[in-house]
Amino acid sequence: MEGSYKRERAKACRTKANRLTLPFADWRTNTSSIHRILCVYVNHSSVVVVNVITYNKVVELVDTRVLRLEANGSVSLNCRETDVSIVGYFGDAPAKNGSQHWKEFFLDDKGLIACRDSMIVSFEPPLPRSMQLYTASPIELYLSQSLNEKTSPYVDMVRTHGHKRAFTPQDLHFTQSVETLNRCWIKRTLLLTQIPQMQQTWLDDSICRQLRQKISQIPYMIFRIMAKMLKPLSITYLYTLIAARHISLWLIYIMNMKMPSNLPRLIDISATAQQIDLRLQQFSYLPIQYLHTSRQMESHKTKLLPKDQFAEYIRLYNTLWLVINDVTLGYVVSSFLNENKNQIVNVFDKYVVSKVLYSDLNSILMWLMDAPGGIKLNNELSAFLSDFFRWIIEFWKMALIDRLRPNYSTVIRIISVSSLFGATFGIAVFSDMLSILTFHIYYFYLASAKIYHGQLSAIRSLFRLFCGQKKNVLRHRVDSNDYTLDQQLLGTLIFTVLSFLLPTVLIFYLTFTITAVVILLITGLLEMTMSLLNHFPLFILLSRVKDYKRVPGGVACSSLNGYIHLRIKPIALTDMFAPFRNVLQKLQESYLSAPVITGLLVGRPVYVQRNKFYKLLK
Amino acid sequence: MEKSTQPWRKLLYTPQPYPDNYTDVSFLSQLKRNSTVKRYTFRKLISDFSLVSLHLNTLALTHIFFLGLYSYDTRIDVPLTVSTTISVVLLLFYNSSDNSSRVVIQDALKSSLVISFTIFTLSPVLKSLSESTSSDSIWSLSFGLVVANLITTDYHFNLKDKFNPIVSTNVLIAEATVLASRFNSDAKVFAFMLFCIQIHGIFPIFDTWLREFHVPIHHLMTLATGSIATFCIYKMMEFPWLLIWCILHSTILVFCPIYFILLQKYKNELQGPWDIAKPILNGTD
Repeated sequence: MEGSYKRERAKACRTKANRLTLPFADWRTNTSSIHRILCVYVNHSSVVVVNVITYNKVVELVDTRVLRLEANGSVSLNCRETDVSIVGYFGDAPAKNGSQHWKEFFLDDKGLIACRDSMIVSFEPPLPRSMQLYTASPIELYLSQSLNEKTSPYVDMVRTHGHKRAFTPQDLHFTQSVETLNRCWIKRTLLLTQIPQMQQTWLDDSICRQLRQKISQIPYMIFRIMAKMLKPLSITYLYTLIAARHISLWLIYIMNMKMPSNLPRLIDISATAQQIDLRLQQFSYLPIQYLHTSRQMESHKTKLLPKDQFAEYIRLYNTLWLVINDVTLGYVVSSFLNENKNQIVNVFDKYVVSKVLYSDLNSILMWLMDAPGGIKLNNELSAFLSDFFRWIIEFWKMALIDRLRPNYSTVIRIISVSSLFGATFGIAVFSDMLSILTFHIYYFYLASAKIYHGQLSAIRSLFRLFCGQKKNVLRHRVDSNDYTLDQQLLGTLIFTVLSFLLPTVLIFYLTFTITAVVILLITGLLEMTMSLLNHFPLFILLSRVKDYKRVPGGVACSSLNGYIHLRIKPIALTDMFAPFRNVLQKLQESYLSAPVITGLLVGRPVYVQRNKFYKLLK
Repeated sequence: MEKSTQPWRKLLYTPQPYPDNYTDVSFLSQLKRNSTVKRYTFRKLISDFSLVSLHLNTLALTHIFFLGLYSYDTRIDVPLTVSTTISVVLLLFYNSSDNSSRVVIQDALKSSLVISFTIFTLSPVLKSLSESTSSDSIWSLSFGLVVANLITTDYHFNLKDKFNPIVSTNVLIAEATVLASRFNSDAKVFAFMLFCIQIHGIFPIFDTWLREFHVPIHHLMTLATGSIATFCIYKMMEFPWLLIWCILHSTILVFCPIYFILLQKYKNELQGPWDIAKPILNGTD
């Protein structure tokens, strides 16, 4: 009981479960006739009071077998649980022998319960059934290490030695002390089951406790009966599940397969494939996740989820919840699409396909042909480029749109049917459809970027020739060089020609870049909606609203009735959204960052790897 | 002060019967003035300055040729024939004087053919290059390029130095390209570009060789280009331009050398058997 870190936590039991109260006021007014023994649970030098026995005479307790009289005249708890013991008493010492190791609690001048060389901190015991929890720091919402992912020792080293605050022994001690509180309720239940007589000594203010207990057992009974009835089915169900899991793993493998040639993977190009991949992965991970969380709980027989499994638990239910939400929303979207099919087809055909994608694009190209905005372009080159692109648009219209137009309603039906699997699927299919429809614009962008980039780099190297230099690729520097006369003359000639043609190419490049970026932003917006629907931290948010003690963000101390009161601090909003915010940041990085912008300026084709965002949340 | 019998010696470490601030008459006897300075003769200066004049002549010739083609629609064959003939003749001479002449001739032929054909192929492109740009911006651009050329030109006064006028030649070729883009026919573009390349690309190399081995021919070329340029200016432009041209040339050829000689008297280079003192300013070296 010595040491500066030893604390005691007297418990103010005001719990909902059995409305047991220990009114402090009573303690103060009491005469010498009533005494109390404090039973505690000790873990790492911090002492948690889990129960208080009130009695008039010790003999009564020994008679009712609450206490055991030892041979040497001392008393101890009559139970097998070793880590619960008597720590002290209030009033007279219960036994002559052995009491000297116990602490004496008394009322100090201010009428507060006190103890020598220990500090008393009050707290509300966390209910394991409601998954309440005390933690020293905010609970981890990330998985500390993904189960499949193998990390290199270097990454681990960076993780542990990163610029976090150094973890001091005091911190460790504090963390252990705080986590001891989580066991309080379990130890108390164990104590009460082993010494049932103890209950008679309680000050139970609830009349219908028995009834309530009975009622609370009804769902369990129903569940047990159901389980017995369904037992023959459960084996079949299990095998079906395993088979489905294998099939889904195969599908995932196929979608993630790298083709032998340099083709991209399926999930890199298609949002639908990506969404299917995500759902399949969630599905195949779900049983493992469930077993993980429930088995951990069962193994302790205490329904106390270990802290490191908390993230897993939250993710499991978040996923389930989001999937249900998604499907519900999907039904709404699907019925909306079915009801307004004709109007949607009309608007889409009239404004998006015929106007924006065909006639507007054509007129922009025509406008570029003759001095757009007074900028003097090279007539021949701009006419050539404009004709070339318009010819492709014409081809696109003939090959794709004219064939698609009679089947618009089928497309809408496909979207509405896929929405039945979840709104995200509908969005993904729409996003893919948009990508296919605007395929030509993306390739215009790539082609013009290639021309522009090639021209820029040619101008750069020819400018070096113009100055009598050349780049030494072996040493990464610019050397001076003696060019022969014909090299020099031709280089300069081509340099001049390319410089004069640069504005024309630049204008075309800019036009297609802007259109491609607009389309990219639209698909990016759709993708963000998808990631909102897929990864919004809904479960933790609702847990926070319902009972903030389930999602602790550390502990806070305050003063209550003159005692130091330790309470659970709710998790901060920023911590709750941390994984999600990370994704948003990555989104911003890949759409609006310096490399992307310089890439756009120089004409390096900018690809967005959408797969990247999902890796973060998986 | 009493006159010492012992003569003063310029030795710091020997005790001598002279006060510290004594300065002997013989103190500066070893001082030499302008010992390494080269005295330029008027003749040498004129021949050097004529290189500037020659460069101006070639510049003038190309621009006169451009003016003729652009404004007066002159025939392209005469100037081009003359320049090509001169180039070929010089090339033959140049190669015959060389030891490994066959290789050099092959190289030269290959280069000239490549250049000619490229210009021939590119001339339609060059023609349309600045079609939508206004003439004024082209004139100002070409003026800027000429100024850049005048600044960067290596006149190569000292024949022992390496002659490698990359930037100035490139600037001139770029200028010629810009000007050529104003023509309305491919033939003119081709003729003008070829002429420019002969005059600005090939001629300076020949001229260096001529100055080294056949000085009279070099002088003849200077004189010939000067006369042709003057004659053309007289024929094609107004009198003030001719006056400016003549004043410019006389300044370069006569007044500048004279002024240079006059300036030579200010040369004051000192040398002696001592190290030159470097003043230490602000206590730092």
